[in-house]
Formats: sequence, structure tokens, C-alpha cells
Amino acid sequence: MTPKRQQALLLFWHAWLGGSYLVAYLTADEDTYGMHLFAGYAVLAAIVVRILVGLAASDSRLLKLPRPHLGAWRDWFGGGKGRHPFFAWFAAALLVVVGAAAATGALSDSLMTWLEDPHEVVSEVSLWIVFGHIAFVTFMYGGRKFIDKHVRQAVAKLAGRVPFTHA
Amino acid sequence: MLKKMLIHGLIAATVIGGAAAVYASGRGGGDEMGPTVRTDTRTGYITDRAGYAGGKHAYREAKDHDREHDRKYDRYDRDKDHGRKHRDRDDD
Repeated sequence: MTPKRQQALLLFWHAWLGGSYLVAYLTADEDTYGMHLFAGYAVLAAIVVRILVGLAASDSRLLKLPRPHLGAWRDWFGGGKGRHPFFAWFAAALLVVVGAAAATGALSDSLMTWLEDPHEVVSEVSLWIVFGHIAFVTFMYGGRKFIDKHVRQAVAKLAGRVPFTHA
Repeated sequence: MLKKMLIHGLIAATVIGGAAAVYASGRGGGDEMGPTVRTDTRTGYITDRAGYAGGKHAYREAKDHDREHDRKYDRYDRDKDHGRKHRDRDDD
């Protein structure tokens, strides 16, 4: 499979997971339980498929499972080598936590109803990890330049080098 | 790239949300379950889930209520009088 096709597959999978997660979170209520169940199983299916594809394509740079390791921090902060370590750490954390949320949800619906409360807790935690992931990716893919530019402008204005202008 | 991914995600959410809504309405939704009749083979009661339309009572509460009802009245063990009294769904 060409790298372009692999990336397209990865983007498709990411949309599947993200879309299902959004629907599942928004329908996490008694009144929309049926929709929440469907979306939750879609999330679980996406996680399972990702793990299977990752295991099957372990030599593919794009499709292999994320393998965060502490040495990546040394490489990154030592000489700026490689990809930012947070990419792998966030990916691994999301697979684990979102997978746990989906799995506890599926189990609480069928076999172990006592898992309902842990499912809720894990889901809330996963939401914060999703927010962190979105914030990090936004920062890395354009946020840095945006913040850099505006922070420089603000600092320059405060230092008096550039006069304040009324917009 | 980010904008593309955001749009893809929203499209996926719309598609999955639509499919979920179709599934839920076919299943009976949350609070709009039609009467579903089942026979409890242990006690011989005919129970139904009707009467939970509207309000906050939904599928999960109906399931839990059934379980609790069965647990509570199981010890009466085919008592005919008791069975007659509790044959209709309790709306408590």
C-alpha cells in the first residue's frame, strides 16, 4: 500500500473514531440511550480495527501502533531530532483510555452493570485527554506561528516600540 | 490539514449520528418504547415494558425494574393470589 493510501486510511479511521466519540459523548443520557449504545460500539469497533491493523502493519511508518518511549524526549530536547514525543504519547494514551471507556460501556450494558459508574469516570477522563490532544495538535500545526506572531506584537506594543492603533 | 480533519470528523459524526438515530428509533428509542410483552418462565407472569413512555424512564430503568421485580417476588414462588395481584405492571 502506498504511503498516500495509508494516510488516507488513517484519516478515514480518525474521522470514524472522532465522529463516533462525539456522538457517543453528546448522547450520554437516558433519553438517547439507544444512540449512545450504537455510537459507543462504533468507537469500540474503531479501536479494535486500529489495533488489528497496527499489529498487521507493524513495519508501516504510518499504520504501526504508536510506541512512546522515554528516549524520544532526550532526542527531541537534545538535538530536536525526530517527531515531537507528545504525538506518540497522546496517541497511545487515547487508544488506551478511549478503548477502556468503550469497553467498560459495552460490558456495563451486557454483563456487568456495576461498570456503569467506572465507565462514566473513564469517559470524563478521556474527554480531557482528547482536549489535550486537540490543543497540542493545533499548537504544532499552526498555533505556534500564530502565538509567536501575536505574542511578539503584544510584547512590542507593551515595550512602546509600536504605537497602539485603534482597530 | 487540520481544517480537513475537522470537516471529516464532523461529516463522520453526522453519518454515525444519523445511523445511530435510525438504530435507536427502530429499537424503540429511549423513552418511546412500545409495549413489549414477555413471559417470565420462572413465575409464569406476563410482564410488559409499557407504561414507561415519557419522562425520564428509559430502557435501562425498565430493565433494572424488571430485575428488581423478579428478585422481590421470586420468593413468593408461584403463589396464585400474589401472581394475580402483581400481574399488571407496577408503575412505582
